[in-house]
Amino acid sequence: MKRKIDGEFIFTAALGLFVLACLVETGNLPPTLQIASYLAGFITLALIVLLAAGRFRPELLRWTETALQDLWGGSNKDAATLPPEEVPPWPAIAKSMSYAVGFLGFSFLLGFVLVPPIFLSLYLIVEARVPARWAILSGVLATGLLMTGMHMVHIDVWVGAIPEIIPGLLGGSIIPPI
Amino acid sequence: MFESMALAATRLAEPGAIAMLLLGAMIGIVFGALPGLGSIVALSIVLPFTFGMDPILAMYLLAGIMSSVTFGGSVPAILLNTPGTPPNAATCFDGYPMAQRGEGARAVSVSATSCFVGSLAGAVVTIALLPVIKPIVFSFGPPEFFWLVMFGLVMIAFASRANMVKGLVGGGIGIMLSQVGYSEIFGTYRFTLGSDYLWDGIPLVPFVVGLFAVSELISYSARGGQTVSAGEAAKINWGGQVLVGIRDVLSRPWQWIRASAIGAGIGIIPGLGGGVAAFMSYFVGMQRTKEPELYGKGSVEGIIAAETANDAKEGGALLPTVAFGLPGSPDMAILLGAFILHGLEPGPLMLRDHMDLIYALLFGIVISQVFTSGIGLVTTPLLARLSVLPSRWIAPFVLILVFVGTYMVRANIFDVFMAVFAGIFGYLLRRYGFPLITVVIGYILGPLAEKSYIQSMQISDDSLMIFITEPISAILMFGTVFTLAVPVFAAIRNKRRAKA
Repeated sequence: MKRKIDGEFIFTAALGLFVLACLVETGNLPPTLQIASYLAGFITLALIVLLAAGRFRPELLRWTETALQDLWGGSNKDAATLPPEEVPPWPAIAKSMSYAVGFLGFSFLLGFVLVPPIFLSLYLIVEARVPARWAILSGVLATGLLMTGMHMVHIDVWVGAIPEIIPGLLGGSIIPPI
Repeated sequence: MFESMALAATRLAEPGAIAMLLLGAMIGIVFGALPGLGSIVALSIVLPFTFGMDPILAMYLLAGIMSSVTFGGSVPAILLNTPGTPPNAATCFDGYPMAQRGEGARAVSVSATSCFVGSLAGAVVTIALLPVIKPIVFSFGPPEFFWLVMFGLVMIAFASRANMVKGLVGGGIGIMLSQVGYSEIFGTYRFTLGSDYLWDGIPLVPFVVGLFAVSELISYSARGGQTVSAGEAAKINWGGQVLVGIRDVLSRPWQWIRASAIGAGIGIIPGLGGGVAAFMSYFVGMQRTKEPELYGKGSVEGIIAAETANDAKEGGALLPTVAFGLPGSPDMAILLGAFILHGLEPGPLMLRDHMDLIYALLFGIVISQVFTSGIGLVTTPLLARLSVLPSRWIAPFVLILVFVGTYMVRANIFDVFMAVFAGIFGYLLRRYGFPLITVVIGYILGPLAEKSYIQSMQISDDSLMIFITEPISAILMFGTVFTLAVPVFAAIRNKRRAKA
């Protein structure tokens, strides 16, 4: 049996909280600016509540979905004929996300000159099982090409938020205001 | 008029002109294919180098870039589900499913051919409308704009199809996200959480690239394997698919004529970008087709609709740019800069004194598209083999391209953070069945609708009558209401028939 409170429910609830926070904040805006936020926000919130309620009373959601489908959605067969997409398990997804976030974090600190060749080589060796010498060569070549491209179009390469260690290569980039 | 046309056409035969068009086409393809970059970045980089050049040659170079970027952007959209430029997001919906079934070469070929017919049609529309452009541009004020955008927003309902409630939620979330930032009209900040970065709103390029590319990379690398298995790939006739792709487009003249008309029409209206043209054409195509259930699952017609409109809009956008100095799109704003750099003043005087340059641009767009489509078609069998490579080989390279590409747009490292956050958010949306397409439509069209609504109310002293008393506005409103109402009446009629 399908669990009622699962990842989908939590994600839907988080979306609801986001919309609710926007609606609360909208109260402080000039009246003309409130129209779009209130209109989009209340309709979205109502539908999110319906989605959440549908976990406990599925017939509620089914009825609304069928009514909407009858009007604008064409046939429900469309959904039925969709090929079942392979959904990767959470641990694999978490690993992929960690690579992306880790690469981002290290790039922020150490810059685009140092991190991409290391990241690329490591990923290719560990995850793609590419022989080390090819992986390292690919990493260095790809980064070299990108850096050359950035220099050619006069864009300052991000060299990392840490204090300057090697001028123009490692550290010393100015962090933009956040 | 014919003298100017002849002058522009004869210049096309010069080796310098051909070299500039080819160079422009190659720069455009590369900048289009790199996620996050695109015509704005390419044009702004090349612009200073045109200083001192013969103006006609400079126009050929810029035309080459403008016309080829969209095709370049469609290649990763089809093969990697990673739109090279934001307007190519509409191509992902059908291009990638085609690549998954081993028809990547056919999809790229459809895109190359659609881009060519779109450019040609855009240029024809521009030449035909040059004498009557003035009343067309000036008949579109904020109320007309509002209804045009509302028509696009109504399409959220149709785009949701199999998952209506979640689709509408996605559209609403897209609209809410688009409201983040500074409101120029009221001088107020909305939903910025005190962040300076969010003053300019959630930036388009990192958001769209993250939503599509990073979310796909997360799933792609976790799944492993290939888009098309090696066994299936061995059976695929990549070269044959190229011819099938060309035939696909040529055998559907009404579809590309309609998409070209939509693209050129939207291009003419200053301020509506390429994304609007592609999405609008896609949804109109979805409504008009006999096989709507195939849209989003690898429909050739979906790619034709999006890519043809994407390219046709360039010709349309040129009209207000040269006639009034009103850029029809952001890249046209850079072109405006090119005119000024070369001592040309857009407006009636340009139409009188420099028609040869305008024709040079139009011919340049078409000829360069011939080069682009040619390069595309020749390299398609090779490019399509990307879908056979193991996903874990490709994923890190694409991720680095996304990082560097999104960084390069504004040289702001936090844009890369935005792309990664949008990617994680996009992955969760996908995983739980919220269609990304509706999020993007809401995000792109929401602010346009709000802005034109507020401007209309300011013009009319807060009278809603402005939306129905202007003739074009009333026609557009009728069209929007009609689009929504027809399925309702059809459903009621079907129920009555079923009861009887």
